[in-house]
Amino acid sequence: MSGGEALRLEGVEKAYRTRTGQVRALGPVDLELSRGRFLCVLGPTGCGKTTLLRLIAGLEEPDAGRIEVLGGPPEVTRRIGYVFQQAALFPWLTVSDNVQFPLRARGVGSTERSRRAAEMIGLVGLEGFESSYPHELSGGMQQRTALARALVVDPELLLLDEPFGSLDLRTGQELQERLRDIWRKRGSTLVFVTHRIEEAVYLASDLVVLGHRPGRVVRSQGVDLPPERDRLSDEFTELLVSLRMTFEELVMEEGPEG
Amino acid sequence: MRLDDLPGRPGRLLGLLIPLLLLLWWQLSAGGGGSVLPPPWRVLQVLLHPGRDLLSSGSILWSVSVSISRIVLGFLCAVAVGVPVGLAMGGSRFYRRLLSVIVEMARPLSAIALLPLSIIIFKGDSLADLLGLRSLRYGRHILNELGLGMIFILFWGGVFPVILGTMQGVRSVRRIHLEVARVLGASRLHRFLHVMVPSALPDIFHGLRLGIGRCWMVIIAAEMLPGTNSGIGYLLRYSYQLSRYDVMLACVVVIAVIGAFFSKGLEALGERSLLLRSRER
Repeated sequence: MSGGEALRLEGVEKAYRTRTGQVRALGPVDLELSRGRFLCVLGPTGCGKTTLLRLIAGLEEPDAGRIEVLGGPPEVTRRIGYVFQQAALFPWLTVSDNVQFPLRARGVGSTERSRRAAEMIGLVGLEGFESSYPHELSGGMQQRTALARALVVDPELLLLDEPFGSLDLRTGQELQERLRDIWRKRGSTLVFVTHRIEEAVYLASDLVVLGHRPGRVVRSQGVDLPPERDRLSDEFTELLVSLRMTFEELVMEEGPEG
Repeated sequence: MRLDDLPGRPGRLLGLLIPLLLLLWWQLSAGGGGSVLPPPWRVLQVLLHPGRDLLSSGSILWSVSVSISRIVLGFLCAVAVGVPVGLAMGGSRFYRRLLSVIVEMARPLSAIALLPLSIIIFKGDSLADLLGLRSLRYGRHILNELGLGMIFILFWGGVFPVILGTMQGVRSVRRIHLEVARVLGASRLHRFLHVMVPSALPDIFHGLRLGIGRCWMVIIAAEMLPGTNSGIGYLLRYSYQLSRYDVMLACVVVIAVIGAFFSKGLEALGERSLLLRSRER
């Protein structure tokens, strides 16, 4: 599915109205991404990363600028998947029924539904928990379920908003590996938002660093590390350190409280 | 051993201690000739023969079936109207604005106070009349006893808790669940049926429970008013007038048991749906 453009943003801006006035959350931001890439959007908390994803997903409209997603205007289409920061599973449904939810919404028949759900559940490593309810699962397992739920319809573009942010390091790293595998197997386009530099370096084929309020692109680059990444290799550390310096400059610029 | 640590079964039976003591006290005090109240065993005797005709106005079983039929009918009407109205009010600001004033004004109006008016409006007709079964008019048939005026006030008594419970349920749906459903490709209808309704179910059941409790109180009071000549409330009043306190107390027991049964039954149903919404962590 490579070739062609997955994403194009031109001069995109977004502000929110609060009680004390307007807060510029984002922009202007320019961004381009070809299909089949794994983009990590890296930035400190409050830099408008989530806003960026919501704009791409069509959950919100930009105040200015142009967004093109998969060759069309952004809208909540069935070709896009979205994984939120919280798993936000439906607590009244089992793991399997949660994963089947988007299929059911598309009117897929029940045999096909359970076949595809079982496959996805296997892919994220949740075999044996098909009939558990969300409250019976750990945070990591909930997030796996959410991932399976977003992937089950094979979206052309998958948006992930700090999906592993609330997990412990080990679980987070395991899920990072799984996500990379899934991306490589399926060849879909991923936009992954995070504030953890190490996570971004491990996952990304393309990297964008957003600065503070209003969020804007301060650094953008491809990542030419090998597909199998060694977190302890020199190249890995080098990129990590260089990104950390960019981060520190950002913080200096903004002052301690941004 | 501390009193708090009584093991399982005796611990659970502890709640029966006070009722049993009261019963004993009643038995002892009713023994003497001067007591107004009949001893418990006389009441028990009435209860043990629920099919026997009492005071020439029907058996306990008959009276209970009349009251329950009224309730079921009135409450079903309340649910049929209350749930859709609650869903509309919870789901759309337009309907909330349109209806909340009338709901808030109508809600405190006691159902009993509406009984005379509603009998006038429905001309004293019963369900038998509504169904065109005039031939039943002079027999003792249950359809004859289901006065439309009575059904209406039961509807009135039950509908507001159902509306408010449903509305509360819809409004407490978590935004993120609706948003997730949207990005997962669910249509408006699908979101409504598969996200909104399941989220709201526990609150809806809470409303139903309150509603049926209200109905049960309304029906007993309404049946005790003059102009009614059937139902457990009627039997209660009539036995009181004839000083048949054994029958009267039997009615009280029956009313208590059925009321508890309604409430517990719906609670059990609701518990199952509450289980389904167990909190996310």
